[in-house]
Amino acid sequence: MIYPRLDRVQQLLLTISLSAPSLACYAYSETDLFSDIPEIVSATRISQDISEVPVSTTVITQELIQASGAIDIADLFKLVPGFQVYTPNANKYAVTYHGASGEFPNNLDVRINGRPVYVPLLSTVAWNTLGISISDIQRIEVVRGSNVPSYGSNALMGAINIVTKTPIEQTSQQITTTVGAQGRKDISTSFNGKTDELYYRLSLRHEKNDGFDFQQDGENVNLGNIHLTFTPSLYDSIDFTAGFNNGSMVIGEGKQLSDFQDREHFSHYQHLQWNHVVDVNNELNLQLYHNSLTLRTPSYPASELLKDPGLSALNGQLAFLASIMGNTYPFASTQVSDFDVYTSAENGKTQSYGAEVQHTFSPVNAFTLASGFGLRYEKASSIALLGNDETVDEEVYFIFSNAEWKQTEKLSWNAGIMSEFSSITKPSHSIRLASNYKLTNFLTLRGAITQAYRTPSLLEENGQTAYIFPEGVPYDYVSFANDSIEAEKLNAAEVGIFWLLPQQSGFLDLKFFNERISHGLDSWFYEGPIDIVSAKQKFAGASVNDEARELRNTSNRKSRGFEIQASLNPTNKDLIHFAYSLNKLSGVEKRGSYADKPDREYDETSPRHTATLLLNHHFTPSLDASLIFNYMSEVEWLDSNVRESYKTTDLKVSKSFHIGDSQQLTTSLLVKNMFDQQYSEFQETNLYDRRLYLTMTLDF
Amino acid sequence: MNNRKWNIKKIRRASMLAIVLFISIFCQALAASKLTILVSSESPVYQAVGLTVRKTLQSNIHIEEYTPTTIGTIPAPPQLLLTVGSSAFKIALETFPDIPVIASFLPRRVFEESLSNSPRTRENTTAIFIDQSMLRQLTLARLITPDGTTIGTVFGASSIKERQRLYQAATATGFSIKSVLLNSDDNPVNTLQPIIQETDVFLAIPDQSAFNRASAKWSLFMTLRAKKPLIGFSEKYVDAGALAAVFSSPEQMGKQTAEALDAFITTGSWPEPQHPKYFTVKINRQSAHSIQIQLPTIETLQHQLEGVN
Repeated sequence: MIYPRLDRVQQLLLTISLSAPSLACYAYSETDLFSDIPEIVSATRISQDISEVPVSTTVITQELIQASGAIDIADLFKLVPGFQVYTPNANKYAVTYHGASGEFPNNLDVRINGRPVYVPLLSTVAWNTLGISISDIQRIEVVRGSNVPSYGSNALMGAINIVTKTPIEQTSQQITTTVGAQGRKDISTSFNGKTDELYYRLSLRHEKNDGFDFQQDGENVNLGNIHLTFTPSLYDSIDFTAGFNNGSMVIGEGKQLSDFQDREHFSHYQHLQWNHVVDVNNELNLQLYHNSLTLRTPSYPASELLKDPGLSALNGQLAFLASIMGNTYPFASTQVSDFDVYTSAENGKTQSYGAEVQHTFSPVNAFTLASGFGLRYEKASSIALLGNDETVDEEVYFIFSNAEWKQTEKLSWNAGIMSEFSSITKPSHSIRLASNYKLTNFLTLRGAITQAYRTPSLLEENGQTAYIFPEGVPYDYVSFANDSIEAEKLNAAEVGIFWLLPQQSGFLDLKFFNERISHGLDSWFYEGPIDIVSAKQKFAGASVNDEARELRNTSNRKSRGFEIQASLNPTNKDLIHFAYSLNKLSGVEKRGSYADKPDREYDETSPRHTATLLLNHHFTPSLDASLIFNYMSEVEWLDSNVRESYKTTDLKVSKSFHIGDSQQLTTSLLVKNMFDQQYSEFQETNLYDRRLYLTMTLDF
Repeated sequence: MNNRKWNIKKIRRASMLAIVLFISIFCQALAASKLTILVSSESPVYQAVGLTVRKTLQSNIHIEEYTPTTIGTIPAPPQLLLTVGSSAFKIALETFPDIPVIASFLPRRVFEESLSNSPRTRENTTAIFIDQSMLRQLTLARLITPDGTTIGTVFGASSIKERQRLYQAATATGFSIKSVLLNSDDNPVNTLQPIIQETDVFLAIPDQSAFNRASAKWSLFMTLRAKKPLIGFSEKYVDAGALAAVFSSPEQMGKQTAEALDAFITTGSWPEPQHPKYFTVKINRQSAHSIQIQLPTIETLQHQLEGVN
C-alpha cells in the first residue's frame, strides 16, 4: 500500500477544496443539525437560550400574560424581579427598576418589536400613548440590568422589548370587552387576514374609565395598529407596523379638584423592518421608524391664576416698586399685560426618526457577532418645558457590536460595546464583559461587569421654565438649561446562578448585583435672578431671591441586593411564577446651596423588598384560575409625599365555552386586592381598594 | 458437461478469491494495532465524539487524532481510520482510498453521495449516521398523534434526497405524506400554509442551516397558529418551540462508534452503515400546552423508539 504523502501546498489545496464547498456552496453537513434556531434576542441582539444570556432576563410569555391579572401593559412588569410599577395618576403609569424614580422614570429603554418608544420631550416612556394594548402582545423580553452596550443610553438600568402578535401566528378574529371598577369600559377587536402575498393584522381599541374616586382622573382613549407581513422569499421577510393613540386623560397632583386637568394626546408611529438571511453565516436586519407625539393641556390667563382680574393689583405693586427703587428698578416695564400660562409640563410636540442596520455574522458555530450602526434624530417643541416656542433637536449616531464566543461546551463569553455620538453632548462608549459557565447540564454560573453611560436627553439638555410677561417682566424663573451637563455613569457587576429544572419544566434564576451610578443628573437649586416672586419675597423681609434650578451631575447612588426568579410547570395543569427582589439603595442627591433645599438621601426611594407569586391551575381544559400575591415594602418615590407599601391578593377565574364549530367565548372574573387592603399610591388621593372586573372574549 | 465443468471451475475460483479477500480483510483487521482518528475540525462537538471514543473503547489499541490541517503529520499509513464529520470523511476518501474507514457523525446523505462519487466501496467502509432514521422520526410522530393520518413537510435542495426514505417510512407507520419543495425564491408562508393546514403533524427535515433557520421561523409560527404538532430534528429546535424531537448527542455518537470499532477489531466484521443506536427524546411542555395536546411521558416515548432503526 502506498501512503500518499502530500506536500503542504497539496494539503492546503485539498483541505480547501473539500471544506470550502461547505462554506461557499453551503453543502449540507452535520453542523446544520446543530445550528441555532432563533430564541431571545434582547440581551445581546444575538439569538440565545435564557440560560446563555449574559445578564439576567425575564420573559413574560403569553401563558403568563393570560394567567396574570394585568389589565394594562405596565401591570405586567410586577411579574419581573426588581421592577416596580406605580401610578402618579389613575392612567399614568411609571415603571422603574431598582427604584430611585419619580413621576417620570428615565432609566429604562422600552421598545416595541425593536422600535424605541422613549419620549425625548418627557425623558420617559408614556405608557398610555403607545398605540398598542395588552391584547396585542405576544411576549415581553425584559433585560434586568444595564443593556446600554446593546441598545444605547436609555437602557442604563434595563431594557424591555415588547413583541407583538404577528398576522402569521394569529388564528382567529377576536372581540374583547372589559367592564368593572372605576367605571372601566374597554372594548377591543382584532382582525387577521391575507391577500396573495401579504398577511395583515388590524387591532382597534377604545378605553374609558373614571379614575380614582376623588379626583376622577379618568381617560377616554382610542387606539389602533396594523401589522403587515410580507415574505417575498424564503430568506427575506418584511414587516410594517403603524399605529395611533388619541384621547384624553386627567393628570395632576394635589388635594383639590382644581389641581387636576385634562391632558389630550395624539401619537402615531410607522415602523419598517427587513430581515435578510444572506447565507449560512450572515444575516442582515434593517429598520426604519418614526414616532410622533403631541400633548395638549389647557392654558390659563395669568390674571386668573393670580386671582387678579385685569392684573390691576400686580401693576399697582410694580408701580409702587418702581417709585421706591428709582433707577435700581430691575424690570423692563412697570406695566404688564395678561398672557396664557401652562400649569402642566406635559405640553408640546416631539418626533423621533430612526434608522438602524445590524449584521449578524457567525463564521463558526461557536462564535457569533452582531454589529451595526444607526442614526436617531429627535426634535421637540414645548413652551411649557423648553421656555419658548422654538424647536430643539438632536442627532445621535451610534455603532455597536456584541460578540458571543462559546469557548468550550461549558464556558462561553459575551462582550458588547456601544459608542454614541450626539450632536449636543460628548461621545460616550459603554462596554460589557460577561461569562457563563455550565457547572452541569442543569446549573449555569453567570458573571457580568458593565460600564455604561446615559447621555442627557433632549429635555435634560434644553429644559427651562420661566413665566415672563409679554413686556419682558419675569414673574418667576423656575429652571434654566445647563450646557455643561454630562452623561450619567453606571458601573455594575452581577453574579447569577441559573438552575434548569426539567422535572418541573422550569427554572430558578438567582442574581446578586452591585450597581453604582455616579454623575447622576438631578436638580440643583440656587438663588435665581431677580423676578417678581423674588421682589415680593424680599419686600416681605427675605434676604435672597427666589430659588431657581438647573440640572447638574451631582448625585451618586449605590444599589446592592439579590433577585430570585422561578418559573415552574410542575404538571401540565399548573404554572408557578415567583419573583423576589431585595434592594438596598443608598446615596445622596445633592441639591445645591439654597437654604430650604437640603441634600436628600436616596435610601427610602426604593422599596427594600418586592415579591410576586402567581399560581395558575387548569381545573379542566376550559376552566382555570390564578391567584396572584403582590408585596412591596415601604417606599417614598421621588416627587411624591406618600410613604406607601402594599400587600395584595388578586384572583382571576376564566371559563371558556365553545359556541359552534369555530367560536369560543371566554369569560374572566378578576378581583384585584381581594381582601381590600387599602393603600395610597404616589399621592394620597390615589386610593387602591378592592376592584372587580369582568372580561368577555369572543374568538371566531 | 463442459459447461458444467466450467461452472464448477468458475465457482471454485470465485470461492478461493472470496476466501483470500475475506482472510486479507480479516487479517488486516486483526493486525490493526493503531487507530487513527481524523476529526473535521477542532470544534467542541467533534472533539466530544473523539473523546468519548477514547473513553469507551475496550480494545487495547494505540489511538492518534488528527485534523485536516495536521493530516500531513501522520507518520505512517493508517491501519484503521475513524473519521468524525463530513469533511473528514471526504478527505479520507481522497487521501486514503484503501484504508478501512468507519465514518461517524455525518448525515446519511453525505455518506452515500460522497461514497458514490469515489472509487471506494462499502467493503472496507461503514458509517454511523448523525441523523435519525425516517422510521424512528415517523414513529415518534405516530406516538404523538395516534390518530393522525397525514404528515406534512417541506424539502429543501438537499433534503429532497430524503423523499423516498420518507415515503417508505410513512407506509410503515400508516401515514400519508403531503410535501412540497421549498425553493429560496418561494414565498415560504404561502408554501407552508396549505401543508400545515391539511396535515395532522409537521415534520422538519434538516437541510442547510440557512434553510433550517428561515423555514423554522415560519413553520414554528404557523404550526402554533394551526395548533398542529411540529417535530423538529434537534434540541435547539425544541427549545425554540417545536413540540418534540429525537436526536443524538456527540457523546451518544462516540459511544456507538467505539462499540462498532471494538466489534471490528475483535471480529474483523464491519457493521452495516447505521443510524444512531443511542438517542434522546425531548419535548416542549410549553408548546404542548399551547397546542393543547396530551403527550406520553418522555420515558414512554424513549422506550417505544428503542429498537426502531
